[in-house]
Amino acid sequence: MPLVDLDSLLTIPRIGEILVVGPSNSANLAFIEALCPNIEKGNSDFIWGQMQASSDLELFFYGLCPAVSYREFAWDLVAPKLLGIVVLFDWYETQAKDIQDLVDFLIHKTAAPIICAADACHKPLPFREAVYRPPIALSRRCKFTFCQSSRATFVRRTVISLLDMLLNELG
Amino acid sequence: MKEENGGRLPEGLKFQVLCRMLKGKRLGVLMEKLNDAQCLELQRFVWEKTLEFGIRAKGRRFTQEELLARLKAAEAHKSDMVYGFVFKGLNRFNLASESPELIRAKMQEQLDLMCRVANQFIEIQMSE
Repeated sequence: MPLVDLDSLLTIPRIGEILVVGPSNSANLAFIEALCPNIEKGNSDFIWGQMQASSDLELFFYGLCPAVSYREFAWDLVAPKLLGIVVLFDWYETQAKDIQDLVDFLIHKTAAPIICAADACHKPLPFREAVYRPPIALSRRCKFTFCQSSRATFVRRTVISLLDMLLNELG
Repeated sequence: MKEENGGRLPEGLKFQVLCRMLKGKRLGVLMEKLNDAQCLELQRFVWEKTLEFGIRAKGRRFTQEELLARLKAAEAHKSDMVYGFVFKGLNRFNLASESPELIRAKMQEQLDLMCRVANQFIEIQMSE
């Protein structure tokens, strides 16, 4: 009799974790809600969402509000397991220099790919699609794109771009 | 004070450069806190992004030579040049024979020129 039941091992659902660092809880919630049927709000700065990507892969999304909590986040526990990070920011309201330190912080804290998503929110996107799709590379680990967190299609595209980066890294 | 970070540009700074390019803002001001090697790296990064925007706007057949021609044409029509110089693409300046201030001034102009041409590709106006 085998010591390990390989069939049951192979069918254990795998969990991938994606961090969404957004400008506000409402922005994080809109982004994660566009993907996840199951949402939980922990304390006021933290949102968790779950999505069944396939029969044996679940994706967990953690929404984190950078102005309040990103330096106090449990990076040591979470960073090694992260599949990727979405840095969501308001294209029209946020100054780039306010995000610059956050991007450098995340690059040093994790080895995960990062996609910076400029959120046009409910306003029109400032450029035609060819300008930002496929995302613009800042480095192998960090790319830039535009999205509208109010529209599920754009949110999905952003996450797919992030997963593409991960697959390219593995390949 | 200049940042001592070799020639590497942090991703955060590249992020800011790209945002400024996409918002039509001048790039030269970003050089103030960079060391010489980082300035060269910044020039290379902006060149690559300008070329990339050209390709995104005009298709894969858009070449470095076409970009260089655009930059030369843009410079030829520029009336407020502080220093008359021919855009040299990725050629480095003669570091031994020119003053650091002059080289930085030229590089600032090159960066802003590339940004202006990139803005033409993505169809926005430079604002500041």
